[in-house]
Amino acid sequence: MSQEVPRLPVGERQDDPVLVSSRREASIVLIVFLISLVWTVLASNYLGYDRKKEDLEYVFGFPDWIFWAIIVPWGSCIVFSFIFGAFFVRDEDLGQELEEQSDFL
Amino acid sequence: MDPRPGIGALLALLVFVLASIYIGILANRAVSKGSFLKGFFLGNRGLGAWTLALTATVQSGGTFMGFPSLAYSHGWVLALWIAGYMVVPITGFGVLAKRMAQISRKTGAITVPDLFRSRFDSPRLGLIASLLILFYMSFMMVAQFKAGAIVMKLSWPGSGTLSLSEDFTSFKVTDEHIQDVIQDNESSDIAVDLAPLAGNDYSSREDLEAAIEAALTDVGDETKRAKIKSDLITASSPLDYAFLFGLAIFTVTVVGYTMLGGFLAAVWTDLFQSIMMFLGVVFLLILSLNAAGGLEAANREAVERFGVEIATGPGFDPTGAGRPYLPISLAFSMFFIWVFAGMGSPASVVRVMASENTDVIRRSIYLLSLYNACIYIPLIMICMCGRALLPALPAGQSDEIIPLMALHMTKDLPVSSFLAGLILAAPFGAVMATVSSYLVVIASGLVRDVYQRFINPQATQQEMKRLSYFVMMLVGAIAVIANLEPPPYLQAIVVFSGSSAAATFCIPSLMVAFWRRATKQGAMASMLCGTAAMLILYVLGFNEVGGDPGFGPAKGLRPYYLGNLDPIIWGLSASLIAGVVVSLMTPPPPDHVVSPLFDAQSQLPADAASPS
Repeated sequence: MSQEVPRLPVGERQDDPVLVSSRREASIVLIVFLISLVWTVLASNYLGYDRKKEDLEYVFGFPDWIFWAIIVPWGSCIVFSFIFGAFFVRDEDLGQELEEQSDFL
Repeated sequence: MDPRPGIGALLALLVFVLASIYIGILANRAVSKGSFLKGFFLGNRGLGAWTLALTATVQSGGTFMGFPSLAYSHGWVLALWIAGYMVVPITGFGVLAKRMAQISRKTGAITVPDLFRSRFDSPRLGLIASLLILFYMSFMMVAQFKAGAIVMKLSWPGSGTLSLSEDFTSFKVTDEHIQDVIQDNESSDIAVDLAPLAGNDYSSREDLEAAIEAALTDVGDETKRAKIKSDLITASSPLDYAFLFGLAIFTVTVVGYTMLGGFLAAVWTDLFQSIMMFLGVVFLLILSLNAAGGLEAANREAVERFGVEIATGPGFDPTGAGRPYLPISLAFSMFFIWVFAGMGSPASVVRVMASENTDVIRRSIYLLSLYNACIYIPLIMICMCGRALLPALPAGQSDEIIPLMALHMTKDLPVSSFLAGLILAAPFGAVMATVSSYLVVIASGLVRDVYQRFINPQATQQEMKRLSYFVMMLVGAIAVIANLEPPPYLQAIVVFSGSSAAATFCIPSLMVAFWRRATKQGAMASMLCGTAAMLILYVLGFNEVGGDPGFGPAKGLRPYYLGNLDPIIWGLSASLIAGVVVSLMTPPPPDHVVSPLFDAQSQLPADAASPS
């Protein structure tokens, strides 16, 4: 089944371009994930818990903490998703399909 | 009197069933071109942006039926519960998608286990992945079949107050039923009140309700009375023919069109239901806000009636016991559940593998982002209007808040029954689409990953086609048999299998895509440790180890919350540590396996472009 083919020495090889761009994009997604997580959970913790009825205010009809801790980051994520998807993610050639899978069963 | 679903609801459901069969026929034409396996299980890798965006995440019947119920019961804190969805589009399509699509092409992988098998050059790893997927999917299937049958039944004309326990035959109360209800409600004082009901037959639900009301006049707490009433009616329901009829129609439809069109039938019906769900939610939101006098008015009304907890954390407790629903540690865990379940679920990964090109993946990111925002927050807004307009649904009926709102909001409109029916039918579509995609994953797991790989590698296309059909019918039959005694705790089963699958496959998938040094032993350790951590914490929780955690659901299936965190945090951590440590302790993977997947192709000889 397996056959050895000649390859460049490890030090002279370059990473697959899809791997390179995916790694960069994944790092940015990880940062956005962490910012959203921290913003949402911390803001909810400070603004949304142990509230008194008379202090609760409404922003565009939402309870104030929902607006600042959920709606604003959610809206920011939508804007970011558009910028990320439309301009940042690189289009790549995904390569040739391996024609028939059963040949390496 | 409450409005009831008329013939229009059934018509709307029929429209869904017929549309799904039509989609199955269209898909059948599309998949019959080219190889059976790639066409039937992967749609010839032709998914476009809309199809990928609106179908490849974790929406399911459970989400659409369970989520509004929770939002109605606990209030605005559900926005925090679901907040992880704000990043699901970028984490779902921005991390693994491009690499998975590329590696699956380079290796010719059709299923998720194929990917593991090729990347690590290990048939055993492929088999273990297959078996684990089958294990999780079986739980999901049974729960989804139950949900489908319930919606079908609820849409039946004159199905009363839409209660789960509504029935065509008589209700028989026994001593055993009464004991169960007493135990569930921890109220030994009602034993004497309910005792006279034992041994009696009631010809209708209304008769039984009246008898229970009369027996419970001493119970002052209205919520408690409603809960006991609902529990006793459910317990004394005889074999439920309406449920079984719904189950039969549901099963024949979904198995039928999936057999016709395979993977494409599953994703196209999913797209169809997603659009219907979007229209239903937007339509219902406009009507509800209008009826409640705006969002702020609805919120103020709800806070006035139920207290500030309905609009703040840790959430309102409808039982009145003041139990926190979502402490901040659990909110933190929930953010992980949605993100990783969307990223690592085998049903999601296989759709990414089927995407046509990277342009499709890019556009899916922002399409899904907009779509999610239009579904989840509006659903909570509708439920808060529900709290203002239909404030006192008993605990057992909160599942029906969306159908009830649909019936109430459309009752004065022309063709109201059909409009309500379309909204009612949307979750039915969601369940059908989910079941259909799981059927494809299960059939591909058994036919491709077990039969073709290990039993008969020489199987012809015709043999595999026949076997795929047989497996789908068999799975349908098993799910029906499992549902003759419908399992309780639908939402808990969905959360268990979804989060366990995420803890099992997320880290190994990241290893496949990004870590050249990852070894087959490391991947296997990662899968098994993720699984073990989840199973241990769930088994401990089911056996009440550690007692009541004091938050979350008051009863029912729940895991053991180690450190007050959901098991998924521990499952992912165990999977990550085991994967990294074991990979570093074992020899690096052979160059001929990883080089074609990790090195730039132009530097390789042509015959090294695929793993041998």
